[in-house]
Amino acid sequence: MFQAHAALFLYATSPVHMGAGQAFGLIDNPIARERHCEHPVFPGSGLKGAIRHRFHALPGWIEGEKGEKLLDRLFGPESQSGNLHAGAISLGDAQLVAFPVRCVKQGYVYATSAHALARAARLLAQLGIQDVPAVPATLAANECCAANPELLSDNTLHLEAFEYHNSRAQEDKLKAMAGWLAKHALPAGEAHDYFRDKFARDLVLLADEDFTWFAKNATMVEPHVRIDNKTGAADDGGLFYTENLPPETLMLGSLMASRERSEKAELEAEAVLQHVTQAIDGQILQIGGDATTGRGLVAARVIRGNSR
Amino acid sequence: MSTTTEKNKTPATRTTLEQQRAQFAWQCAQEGVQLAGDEYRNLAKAAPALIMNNGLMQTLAFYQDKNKDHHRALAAQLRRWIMKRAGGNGQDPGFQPMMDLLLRAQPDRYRQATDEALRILRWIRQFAAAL
Repeated sequence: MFQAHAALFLYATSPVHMGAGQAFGLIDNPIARERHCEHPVFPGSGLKGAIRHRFHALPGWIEGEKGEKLLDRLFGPESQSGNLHAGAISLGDAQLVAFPVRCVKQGYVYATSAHALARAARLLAQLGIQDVPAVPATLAANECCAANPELLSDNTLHLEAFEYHNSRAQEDKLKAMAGWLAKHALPAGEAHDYFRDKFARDLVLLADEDFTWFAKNATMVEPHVRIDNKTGAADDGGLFYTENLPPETLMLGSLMASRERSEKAELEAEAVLQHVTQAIDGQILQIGGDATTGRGLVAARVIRGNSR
Repeated sequence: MSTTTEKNKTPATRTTLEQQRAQFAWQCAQEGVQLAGDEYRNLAKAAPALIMNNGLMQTLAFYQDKNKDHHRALAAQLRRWIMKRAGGNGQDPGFQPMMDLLLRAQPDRYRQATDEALRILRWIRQFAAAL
């Protein structure tokens, strides 16, 4: 089916609104979440569309039919077109790896859980990436593992309104994982040095339920109103609430490529993956909604199984 | 806060917890809309964001401070539901006793109280908008 694979890490540098449509719930415009664990998710279809769109902005992009033809060969043609064939590149849903949480010390931490790390490790293994460190064991509720002593006061970690008792049993595994992710998952380059260092230092392990609680309840919720053209003040009846994934969130998705499936069929899977990797690796992509209000900027990083 | 029993406390038929929330919220929304109309509707609409961005205790204290009809109504409804789910009799404990309980609560109990407040608001804000 697919002959070439790569991991796609996405690090949010602005709030991201990958919407789940209108909802009967707490918030009028919630973000998309996985049903079983309620972690935020970037649906693959949304990523695929955003990446296809991104090709148009590349240097050397050929306007008009020739360029669109290449996109059809990579991503698949429009559903109404005469010669139907599947695209050659597949984008998986991106899942949550680490989530920023306000902390009394050091500003914020990158929170994660055994469940989130185990899922990341499983996906990386599926994609043929072999040097991923072992996953730390699950913690009990109200426990945490923070490798950086600067985060603790009296062996206690204070996140938002909650206290977690630090236990050191998983510290070595957590440090190894934090180091690996800082090196491979966070964006490269000098501009991101601070965040890579902080991630390696301040990745904190929480119990699965505690982590999920923050991923559910510590997102950015903003009120929006409509402005009355005459008065310049807020109009009646235009109030709604929108949810965003906060900046500094780390997500992990997948890129899978097959041989080109159109009649031409000249691109091998490796070439397909190369095309897409060149377009997005190390770049800032815009995904999801509200692009014109600065939403949805993510730094993309593509990791191959043989890349060291 | 005493421990929550999952035993069903409503008489006669066994209903799911979510049905009980809906029943309670339906009464709350009717009371609130009758009392303060749009002011109550907008307060209920804004409440989840207030709790998510600032925390349950801060939100309850803010309502207490504002102290208009719609603030009083919604705050009392939230307190009643939180206490009901914590094994109480569904009476409003009042602002101070509720804050004392929350201040002393273990983190997981405080989190449960927050979750219950959000779960009941999910229904209240929809019902209030529909009435």
